[in-house]
Amino acid sequence: MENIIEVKGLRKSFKKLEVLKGVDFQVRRGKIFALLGSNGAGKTTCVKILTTLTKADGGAATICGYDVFKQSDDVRRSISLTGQYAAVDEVMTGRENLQLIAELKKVSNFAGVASALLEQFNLTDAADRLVNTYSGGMRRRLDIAMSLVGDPQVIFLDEPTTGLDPQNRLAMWDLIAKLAEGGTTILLTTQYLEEAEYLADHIAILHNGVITAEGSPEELKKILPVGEIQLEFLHTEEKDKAIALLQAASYTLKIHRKSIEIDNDGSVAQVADVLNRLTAAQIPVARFTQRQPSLEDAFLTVIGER
Amino acid sequence: MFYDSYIMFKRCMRKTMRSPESIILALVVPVVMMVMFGFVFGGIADLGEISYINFIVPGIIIQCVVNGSQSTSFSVYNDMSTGIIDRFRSMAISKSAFITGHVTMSVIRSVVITAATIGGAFVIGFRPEAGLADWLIASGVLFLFIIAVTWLTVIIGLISPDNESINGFAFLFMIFTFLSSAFAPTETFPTVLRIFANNQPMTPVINTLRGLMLGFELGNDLWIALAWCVGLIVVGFLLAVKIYKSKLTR
Repeated sequence: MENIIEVKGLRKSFKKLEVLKGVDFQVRRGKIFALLGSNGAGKTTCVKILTTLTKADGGAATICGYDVFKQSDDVRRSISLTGQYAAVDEVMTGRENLQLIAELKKVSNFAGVASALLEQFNLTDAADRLVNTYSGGMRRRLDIAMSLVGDPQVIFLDEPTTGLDPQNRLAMWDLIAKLAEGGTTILLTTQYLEEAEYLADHIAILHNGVITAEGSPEELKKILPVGEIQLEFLHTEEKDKAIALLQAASYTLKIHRKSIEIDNDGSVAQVADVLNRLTAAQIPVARFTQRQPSLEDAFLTVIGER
Repeated sequence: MFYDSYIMFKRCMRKTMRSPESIILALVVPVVMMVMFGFVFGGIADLGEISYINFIVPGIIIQCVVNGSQSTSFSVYNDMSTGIIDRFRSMAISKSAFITGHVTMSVIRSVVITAATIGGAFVIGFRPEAGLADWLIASGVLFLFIIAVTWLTVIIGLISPDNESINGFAFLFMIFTFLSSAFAPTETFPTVLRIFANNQPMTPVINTLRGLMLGFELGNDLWIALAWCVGLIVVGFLLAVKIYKSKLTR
């Protein structure tokens, strides 16, 4: 399968602050690629360079075979950008917003294209209302619909779910997955490990200006830290008994004042084993929690391994 | 490029028509100023043979151009400060289309507002003695002045970090209209203010309009006014393009 985006040694500094220190990655045609990183990691800078909005200080990048720096108009014809802040005109209707982009992209039958996209994004009822009456989720949908005008080959989504409530976030995940089924290549940025895991075919972690780890979600799972189960007890005696019992069963424990933590990779068998042992020994557990690794944990592990 | 600019202009046009308040407000202010100044100060202003209404109308027209153009600063600022400009920039369209769209809209707006203000002036009692040639020259000077002010307001929209700063610039413009020959002959000003008033662009433009409309000797005012307008247009255009481009390549 061919690479539709190729990035090599991308560098960018703002004054003395080095944001990108040599970023390399490839995106395959028709796949969802997630650039994962915390706030200020340089994800948006990366997207801005690839979408021709910002000049890089060094390195090379091609999209659809076009040089991002030298053939920027050809690149612009192949891509579209949905930035972090909804790029919709508040005092125009949803339909007018779509038609404006269609006219600028010189799409023939722009009215038809607009209607089809409104339908696809479930905005037909609100099509002729001013955007300033739209909810946050509707605005986001319109924003992405505007990016789809003219069938770009690559879509850039910069933090598409930031600021959305959980329900709208799930709806957005569905929408992105459907776009990819249609064969469009998607590069999205996110701060959420779970979002990248859920959506992406390939994840690259951007940290301190370089890609510190990349691979499919399955590959990354192997190198990323495991989660934990946490057991809380009401009394210290119970906690001490539990510690003795579990250490005897050769579990590695992290011991806190009122609770203990056990590394868990999501295995149900392990959870069952721990709980069975505690129940059999009649040690009451006040509270049981399972925790996914946080992005910070992931970074620490990845950096530790280098 | 023309096609892109046309689409951008259509967008600005549609947005302007959506908020007619801004046009109505831009019209109400000069009319209120004319009534207020004309009738409140008209009684005490002694300008010899000229009625005070006739005297202040050219100044009011200039003030109306300046006030009416402020909304251009706001619309440029709003587009620059939201994600909209990034979407346009990531599309294969002419870079300058965005600016030319705003400028065209602004000039047309100002022309309409100015024409309506002149109409309002007639209703209130403005009685010029200008012939057709005078009107044509006056319109030409006014048109150049409108373009010059438009570029300035585009620059303000590009450099302002927030809405408050735009209001600050609007206040500055207002001071310029008052410290000019708009409402009183500059000879009556204290020395420092008089030197300022006589050497800022609005005074020669106002004097030119006044001379043409009321049949005074123009002197050098027409040439000074033209020099100011053309100079501001050239400098404003170059500066606006430079600022816009530097914002794009951040």
